[in-house]
Amino acid sequence: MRKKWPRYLVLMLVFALVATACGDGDSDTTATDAGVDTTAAAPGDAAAPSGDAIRLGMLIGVTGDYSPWYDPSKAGADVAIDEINAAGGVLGRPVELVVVDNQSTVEGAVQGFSQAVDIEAIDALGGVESDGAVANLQTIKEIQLPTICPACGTSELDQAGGDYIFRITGSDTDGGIIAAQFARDAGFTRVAMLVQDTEGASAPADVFKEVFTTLAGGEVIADVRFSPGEASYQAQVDQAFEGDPDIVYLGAGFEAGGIILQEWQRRGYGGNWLFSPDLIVPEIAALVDQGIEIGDGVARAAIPSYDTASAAYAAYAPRYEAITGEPPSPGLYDANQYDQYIVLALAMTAAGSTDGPAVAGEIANVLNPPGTAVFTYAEGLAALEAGDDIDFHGASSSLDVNSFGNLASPTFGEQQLVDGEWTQVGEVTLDPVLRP
Amino acid sequence: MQNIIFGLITGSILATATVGFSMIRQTEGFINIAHGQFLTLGAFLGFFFVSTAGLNVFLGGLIAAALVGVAGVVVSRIVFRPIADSGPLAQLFTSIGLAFLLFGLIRVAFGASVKFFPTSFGTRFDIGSVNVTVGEILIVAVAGVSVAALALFLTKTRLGTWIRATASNPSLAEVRGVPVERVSVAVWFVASAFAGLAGVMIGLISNVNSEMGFQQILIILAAAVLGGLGSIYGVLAAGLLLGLAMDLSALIIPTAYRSVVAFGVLILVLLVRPQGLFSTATRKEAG
Amino acid sequence: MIGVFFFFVGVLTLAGIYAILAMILNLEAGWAGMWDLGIAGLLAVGGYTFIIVTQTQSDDVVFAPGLPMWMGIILGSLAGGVAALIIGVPSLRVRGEYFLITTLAFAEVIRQLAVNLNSITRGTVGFNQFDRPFEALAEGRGYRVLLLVLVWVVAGIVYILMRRLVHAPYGRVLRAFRDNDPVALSLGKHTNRHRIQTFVLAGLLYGAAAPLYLWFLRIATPSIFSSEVTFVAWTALVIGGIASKSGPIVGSIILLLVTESVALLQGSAEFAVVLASTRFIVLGLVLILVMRFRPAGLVTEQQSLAAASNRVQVRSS
Repeated sequence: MRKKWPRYLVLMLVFALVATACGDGDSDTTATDAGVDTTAAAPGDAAAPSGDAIRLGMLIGVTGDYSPWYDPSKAGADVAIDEINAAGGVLGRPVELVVVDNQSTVEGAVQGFSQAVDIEAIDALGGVESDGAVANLQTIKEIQLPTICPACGTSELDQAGGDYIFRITGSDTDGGIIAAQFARDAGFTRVAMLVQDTEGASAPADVFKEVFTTLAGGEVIADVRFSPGEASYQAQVDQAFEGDPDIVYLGAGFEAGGIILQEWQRRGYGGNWLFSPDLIVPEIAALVDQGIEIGDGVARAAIPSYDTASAAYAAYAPRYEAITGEPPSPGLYDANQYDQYIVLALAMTAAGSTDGPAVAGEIANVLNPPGTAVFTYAEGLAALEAGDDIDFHGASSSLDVNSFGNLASPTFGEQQLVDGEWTQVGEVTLDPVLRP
Repeated sequence: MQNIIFGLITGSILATATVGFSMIRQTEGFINIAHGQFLTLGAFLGFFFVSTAGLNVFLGGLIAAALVGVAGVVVSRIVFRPIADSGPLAQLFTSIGLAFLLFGLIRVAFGASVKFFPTSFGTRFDIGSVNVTVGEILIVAVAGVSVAALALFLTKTRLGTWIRATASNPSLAEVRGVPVERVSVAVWFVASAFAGLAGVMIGLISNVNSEMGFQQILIILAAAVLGGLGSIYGVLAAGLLLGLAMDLSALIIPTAYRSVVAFGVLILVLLVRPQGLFSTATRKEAG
Repeated sequence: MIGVFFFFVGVLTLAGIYAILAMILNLEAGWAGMWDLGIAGLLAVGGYTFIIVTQTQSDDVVFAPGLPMWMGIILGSLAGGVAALIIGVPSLRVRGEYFLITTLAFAEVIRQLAVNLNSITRGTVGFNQFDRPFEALAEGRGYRVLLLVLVWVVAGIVYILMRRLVHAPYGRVLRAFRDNDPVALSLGKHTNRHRIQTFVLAGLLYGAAAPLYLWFLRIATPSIFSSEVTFVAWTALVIGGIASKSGPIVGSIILLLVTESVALLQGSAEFAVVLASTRFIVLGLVLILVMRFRPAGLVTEQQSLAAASNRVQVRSS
């Protein structure tokens, strides 16, 4: 047996060497040619960026439970990268998007983070999802990596960020409160809950329950929990509708959510639904075409809304639609993915370097007043070069952040399924009475 | 009461998924974890035929099942034949490796997105306090007919008799002149086809996604163990029992524990009757 | 290059953790012939116990005594042992694939408990603020090397422990049961009691090892104790060689290097899904090929797994 050892050591070493060679060599991961081809600057454009690329990481679920969000997220990011490079890059250097798969698991997020930081040597990180953000939180602070989370809802970030990690969407805490507000304002007093036992679904659901019962004068007549990945939820759905609720709160991912809606259709329960944000996706809307009879207004949801009147959104939307063929959607967080990279680019420009602490220190500055209001990277760049402070308003929101790195006052929109499409029907401001 | 209907639906699909698994276990002698992937393959193929090719769901499902049957035979020849004498441990882990391989290939071929069958379940019948749709009745019917047909095949045809002989005592069957190779091919075809059929059913009832195989294989294993070795009626009974247990348990315990209930039932039965519910043959250990 | 070094520090740390799990599994499965699919559950019991008793903040849990780390490890280990006892007594009356299912069922129960007992475990959110040992000695990247060393020191201790057990009379009795039950029984030894003892020992060890996993991931949620952990440990053991002493270590290192190195293959983002699926294809192929050509594992000397599995199987008559 002793003789076999050297053979295996050699095998492992060879493997390691091959892997590093591949890892170092093939790190060109931008999707569009325009992103990398920085020499194709048209006359009248900013001078083409040159030199070593600044590497912006995207640690995201390419595979796994969150993979449906990958394509729209990538598209949003690509719009940002192209815009930055077309305006001359950051500090004269081109920016490059580095995508790393976190497999939608915690272990994948930890390993992926190491890959992004150690092997890909990223200068800043975006695209992060809840599991990964929380697991890597301490490490992010230790290595001083500017990190933006475009779609993390986790309540764990309510007070944990602000120095290196920032979140540019609303918290699940607010999401749960808003849902309770809806129910209250629509006059629903008896609510049944149907909730998936994963963090993203159960956290806002628990907030909803607490706020609705203690502060909004409502009653939760059934609280039914289920695990994802099963082939049937009939018994659970039956239990939820049994007590004849005014409305049923469905907190689920769209895989289980789609199954539940099919079963609801077959049994003919009728009634109304209050959906969690994860269900505001085209896959659910498509079910209406397939015969699931969700009439207008039967399904409603609350999600941080896009400020469609803003100049940033107006500049962003057509470009996103050109890539994907669909308009931006709050449920897909594509505009947030776009914003995060513009923010990082502006922060680096303001800091005059890619040094972690310096960049992180500028993020709040470029996002908050006072400063010249800017709506694109080029505008921000021009203002900074003129020596002004800026206040960047993104495509997803005005992006003003508080000291914890969270949106200071996220605006929420009410979305409803109208004519088989998710449509924003109005804006909602969170009633402070309902804050626990 | 409605929960009984739910349980019947769940149970009959589970039985369909498990008969093939049990057949392999009995005639080939090992636990085939890749069985779940044949289920997934059936679901994706069925979806393709119905959604993209626009076929009627019965036809699409049938073709899908048949194709999966063929795939099963091919895979068994390439992967399992060479290790037939390596013992059940090697075969089990080969099947696990195969499961991962097929999982990856199915992902590459069909993508990672989740799909919902565009098939309507038809009108709903209200019978007293319960209701059931045409589609659900049909699914249970198809499951029942298929399993019954299989039982007939096994008892009334020569090939079927050979299969049963091999299942109860492989070495004796071979000595007695049963064509082992032909039996093996037949078993793999039937087992995989049933897995594919069950996949289509699950896809119709819920959705089609690449994780289906791994999500279902454990409950299938539980049903197979519960049914014990012997006639496929054992598997049918076990499938129905577990399906009913899972859906009826929602009435008494928190629904989050639904899958645990299935295992709980299994454990309870095994404590009383360690060889499973309907075991007739001597139990041959798979390790 | 430095970055690459630290990446592999991480990979090898995780490999070390799985090496420990695989060695414990080897004790249960390789030497005592018990096919345990509930590793993740025992790990969860030990891990959660450790985290809960060492927590100092008690905003949303009923129980946060804030005990020192060493105490947490001991308590976590004991919890693992107790869980194994509870699970083992009913389970060990059945064997083979039945034991498999039973242990798996218990692991699922444990996971559900972790999800649902919010006031004790913080449910799906879990714990993400906790100290790690020797943090004063090294910071940032340096700590990762420290953790690597710590994990492999523990692995070394477990290896030595396993070696002692195998050669001790206890180990011989175990293998006697595994190989030829009736003879051992006729000598008057009690099969089940030895099996339960082994299972409880495994539980104690899994419980003690759990904190290493938590220190690596820096988070404790129900989702990290998934059946995937059980599966990777089993695969590492099988590839390396069941019932060999160093097999689990070799298997873990090779398995982790292969799967993590595949992740390094970067290419055009259009093929991201394809590339991400490659890891499974490669994993599957490795298993199939090892079983085909070196079924007894990479380290054992036996060329036929039939021979090795004859030793693992328990035939009932």
